[in-house]
Amino acid sequence: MMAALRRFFRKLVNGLRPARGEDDLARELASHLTLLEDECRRRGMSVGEARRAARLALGGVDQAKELHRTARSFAWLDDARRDLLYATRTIVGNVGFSMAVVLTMGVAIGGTGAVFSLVNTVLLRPLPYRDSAHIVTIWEDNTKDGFPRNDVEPGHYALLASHNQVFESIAAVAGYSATFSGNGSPEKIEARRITQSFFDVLGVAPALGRVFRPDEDRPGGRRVTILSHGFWRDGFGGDPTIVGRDILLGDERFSIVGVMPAGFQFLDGTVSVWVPAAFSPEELVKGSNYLTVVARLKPGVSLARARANLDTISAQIPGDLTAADQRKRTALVPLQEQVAGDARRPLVVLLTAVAVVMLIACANVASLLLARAAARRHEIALRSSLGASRGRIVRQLLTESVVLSALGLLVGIVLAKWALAFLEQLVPSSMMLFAQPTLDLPALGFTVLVSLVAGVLFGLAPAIHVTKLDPGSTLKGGGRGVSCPESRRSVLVVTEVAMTLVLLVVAGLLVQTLYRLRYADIGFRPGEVLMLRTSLPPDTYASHARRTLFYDQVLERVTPLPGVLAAGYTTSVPLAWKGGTTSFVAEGHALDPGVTDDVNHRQVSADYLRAIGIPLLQGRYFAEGDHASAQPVVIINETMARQYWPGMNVIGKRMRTTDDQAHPAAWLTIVGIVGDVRQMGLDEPVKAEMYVPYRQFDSQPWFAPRDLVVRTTGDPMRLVGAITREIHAVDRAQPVSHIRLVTDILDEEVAARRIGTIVLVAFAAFAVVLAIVGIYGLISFFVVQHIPEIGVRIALGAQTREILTLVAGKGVSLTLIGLGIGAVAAVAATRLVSSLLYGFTGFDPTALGLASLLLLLLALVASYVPARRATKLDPIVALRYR
Amino acid sequence: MASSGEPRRIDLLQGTLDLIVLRTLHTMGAQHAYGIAARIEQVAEHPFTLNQGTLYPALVRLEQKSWISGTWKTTENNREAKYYTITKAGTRALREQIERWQRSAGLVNKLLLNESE
Repeated sequence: MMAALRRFFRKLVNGLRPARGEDDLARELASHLTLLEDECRRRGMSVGEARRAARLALGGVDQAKELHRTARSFAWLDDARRDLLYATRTIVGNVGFSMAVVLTMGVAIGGTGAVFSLVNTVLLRPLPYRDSAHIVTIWEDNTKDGFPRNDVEPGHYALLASHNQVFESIAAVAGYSATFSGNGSPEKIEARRITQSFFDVLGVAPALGRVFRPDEDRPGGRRVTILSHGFWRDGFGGDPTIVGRDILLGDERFSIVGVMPAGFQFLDGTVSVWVPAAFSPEELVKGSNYLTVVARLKPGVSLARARANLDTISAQIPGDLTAADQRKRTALVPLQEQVAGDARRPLVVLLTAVAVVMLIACANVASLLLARAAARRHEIALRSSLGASRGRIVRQLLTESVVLSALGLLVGIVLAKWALAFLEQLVPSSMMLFAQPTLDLPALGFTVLVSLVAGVLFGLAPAIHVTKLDPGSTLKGGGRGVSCPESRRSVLVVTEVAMTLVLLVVAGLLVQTLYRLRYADIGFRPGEVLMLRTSLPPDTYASHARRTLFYDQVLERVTPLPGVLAAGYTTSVPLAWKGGTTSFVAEGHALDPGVTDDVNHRQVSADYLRAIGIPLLQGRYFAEGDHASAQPVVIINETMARQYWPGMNVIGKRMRTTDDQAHPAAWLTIVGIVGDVRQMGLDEPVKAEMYVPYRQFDSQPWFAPRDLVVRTTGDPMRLVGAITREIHAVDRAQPVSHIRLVTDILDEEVAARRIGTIVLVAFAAFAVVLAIVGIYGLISFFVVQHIPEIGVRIALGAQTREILTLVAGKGVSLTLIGLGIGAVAAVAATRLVSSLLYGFTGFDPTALGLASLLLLLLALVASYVPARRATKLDPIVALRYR
Repeated sequence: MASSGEPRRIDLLQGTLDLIVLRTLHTMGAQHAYGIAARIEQVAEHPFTLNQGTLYPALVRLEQKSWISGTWKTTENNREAKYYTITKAGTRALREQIERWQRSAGLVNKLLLNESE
């Protein structure tokens, strides 16, 4: 037992420190042979005979060594150590080759790691709420009107809250306009009215104080508020005694009862204060969609069952709701899905793309290794004839590729960290606060795994190939004329070209999409236009007259400022409010009780359309004459004209809004048609839109203008100070927020797309480089392998052109095969990413054509260079070449 | 390559070589590997009984168990060689091994005799 233990440790030590035993053994074997030879000589043999007999008696020095090694230490340990040593030597000995492999793998591994940690952050990691998988959001499904996830009506919410059998708790969130004047100038802060159950649903407790009590969530209840961590820190210096103090929001005093923990937010990442919703009974039946509803499923309730339950409730909405509401349907969306939102698709595409890049990189490295394996055939044949088993040789070559990929991993981790800083911008803003993508343990683990698998993947083919060679013929054959690796490499190159083409086509389509979305088709001229938001506090500006006076005065003061070309007020600049519709009826159309027609509702000043640059197509813009007592007028967009008055002369036709059925609105006369604007999103279809002069429209105060739009000459930002001064000259207490260029809104709108596109373009570019290197490598190899043959041809008088055609033709024909396969795959891939594309109907051949052409040209260059070298061969030298 | 064409060579049972080496060193005192091989061939009365290289795993096994220890010395012909001597632990182990060998050999012999009857 002791002896066995002692032996185990000796073996372990020997496995790790083999040199000593090895030297001693060599010395001992040499001595053994000498003694044997001495003995043979004594028996009268000649020197040669003695030497031969001695070796025979010993049974082979190397075999003896191998036996000794096996007994001396753990064979696997010793092998692994020697393989590592050997791999290191090979890697260091071929710095150029190793660098190429390590960099290739590094980029691919880095990309994979970065994209995976992004996917992990956005799609896989649970949200920072208790059992977040059980939290769902509930929406009204108004797909017909273009709102598949519309906010919920209070009446609908009340019904769901009281009748459902599937939720543990359910809560509603409504917007709330709050002005905070704590630090001098009035500041608009994000606030939300929430029902008392809100924090229960999310399962998050406050860091300080308490959540709301049920009695505070009732009309006339105590005025209390809970602060977000960020607001508490920035607005109150993180004062730990804040609970119990009062805060002035607008004109109202609220008592602070709690502070939420750092990072706590829900859907939008910027809320500063929460106040109890305290819905009045009237509010709970009023028919306007403005509630975000969130609920926690009871344990064991499936999404399907919850959906069925909600559908039953929604279908039985009692008669006190309007007829149109009979069609109400609900959409139940898991919170994680809602939060990840539009980020899911691009991330899946990126993940696929990076996997393809990884495969291309592996193919490329495998191809490089195959080429080198051909050069190392001799060495390996020698090893196998000296008794190394096939498994040993495969393992040795695999060790080398795994070491290479481990080095690639190091490069990759550095690259991934760097890339993440950039990719971070793909995290949806609703997750920004708590979801910083980092190379955390899962991401790192995944990356390590990928690099290991890649190492085996690109190492296996060459290793197996090499060991299939017959050592005898290889040693005799002078290391030439074995075409096997060449055909394998051809397959790899064809695959690379095909996959690269797919990436290029997808990247091309995304670039086109980005360009169209950002610069074409937006419907207005965003350059040098500034926006500033003045959300008028409803208490101060309760009356239409008061509001009108404010807008009039601000515009009167801002318009004459030097550098201002035009200024106008609007409910919302395009894309800033993707909604805000009113039901309406066109004169002469029957009012179908079950159906409403919705139109985007924008109340504007006379000059707004000019200021933002929406072109007039027919009729006229608004003018100062369209005042409160003049004929009520409306300007509609092209889509609306086409949709409701197809083929008619629209100017002079009339329409009216039908939201408030108790007080029928006045008929509005259409005086102009303007161009369509992307209001709903750059890639969303344009909806019917109407513009009315704010002076003539005193109902529906939630459509009252908020956004001041100023078209300037030169840099708009330099006018901000002057404009803000003029606003404050009108109302010193009025907060000004959202000061930005309209182009910034557009940039933000496409920001995620841009990042995604840039990454994909980078992947495609990397793939192109790899493919071209692959082709170049293959053709160079081809030339080296066929030097004698080319020599013969030159000696027999072949023209330079024939040699060029022979050699370069090989590269080109392989590329063409790859392009053919790639084209088919690209068509399929286009379908896969179609939801990310905009402006393409069916398959677009331009991207495919251009990408193929580009690859073909580059392949031509890549094969021409080695082909050119082939023509310069001296036939005499070539024929002697072994 | 080992012994396919050499029918006279004996493939020793696993473990018996260790015993033989220990016994040789015990009776003859310090010996180098060639000396051990020569002694075995002498006992076997034939020069090519053993593939001498196979001694080395046995030597390293025994050394690692501290049953023998090796030192470099010069032979009478002034050649250098590694001489192995049996240790105390080795002598103890040899006794146990011999006993075990005799028991198992006795059993095998008995079985073989009974079978052939």
